Amino acid sequence: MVSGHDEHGLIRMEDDECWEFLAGHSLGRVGLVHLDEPMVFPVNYLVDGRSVVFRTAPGTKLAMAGTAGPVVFEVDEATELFETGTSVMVQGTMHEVMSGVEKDRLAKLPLHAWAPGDRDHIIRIEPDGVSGRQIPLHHQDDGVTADGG
Amino acid sequence: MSTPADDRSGPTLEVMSREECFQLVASLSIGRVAVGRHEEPPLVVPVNYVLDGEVIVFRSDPGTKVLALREQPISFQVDFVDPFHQTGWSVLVTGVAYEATPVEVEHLTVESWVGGDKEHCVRVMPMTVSGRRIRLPEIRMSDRGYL
Repeated sequence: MVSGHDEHGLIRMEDDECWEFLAGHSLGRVGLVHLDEPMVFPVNYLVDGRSVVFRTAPGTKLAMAGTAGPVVFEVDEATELFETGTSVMVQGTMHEVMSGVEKDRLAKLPLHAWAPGDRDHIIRIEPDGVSGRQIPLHHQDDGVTADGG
Repeated sequence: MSTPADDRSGPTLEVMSREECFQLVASLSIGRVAVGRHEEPPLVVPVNYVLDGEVIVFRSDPGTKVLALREQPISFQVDFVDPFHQTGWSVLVTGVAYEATPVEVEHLTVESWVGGDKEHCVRVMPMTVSGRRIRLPEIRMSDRGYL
């Protein structure tokens, strides 16, 4: 089910596991570089096929969508009690959904932005790749160390 | 400066002051580091952090994260959401990061859930701080004594 550990002793997740994780959550963060600065915005999202869609108001995210710039989409979950967590990152490009048919279909899905304002624009992130990492439970007892030792 | 709280009864998006932003950042311990990469999307990695004044400190292996952030602009993002009330806040700090010397972090307890050698700490000196909060409408008592 998992394809081993990375150099930091974290479990690498398979693509299917990553998408399953994404589909099971609803809050993610869009990361993009704007004027040479990396920016991160939280968004409520949905998984639609093998892409990520979210609503937005006109602004930085939308302006970037117009340029089809490279973006990342990150979703994580931390479990304080067990000091474990999962982080999945989608790399891709984003664009605004312009097709009326597509917008109508997506509008029927439970895709709500919590933030107020006219968030009529729907942005889709088309993935180039997905990767996920999990902190193994009881990692210190498993003999898993950094550097893959 | 906040979105005008007009007569609408819905939530409003409020811009927070630098002081408020750091108060909220200090209240949590997991954030995300974003490092810009040339012609590529940024790398976004969740980290355990502590706040030292206004400096964000996190542990990192001497691996990709630390190497990637040298001479690159870095951002640090923290958010909190309340799914029941559908409210929350998000703070974005942009700054300059460098690998801390032992003296700079000896007074801190910087945890990391990821096992292995985490001898190296990174300090992020903030330059710009921005934060937004979804403010829910207040329920006010009317002067007639009922809601």
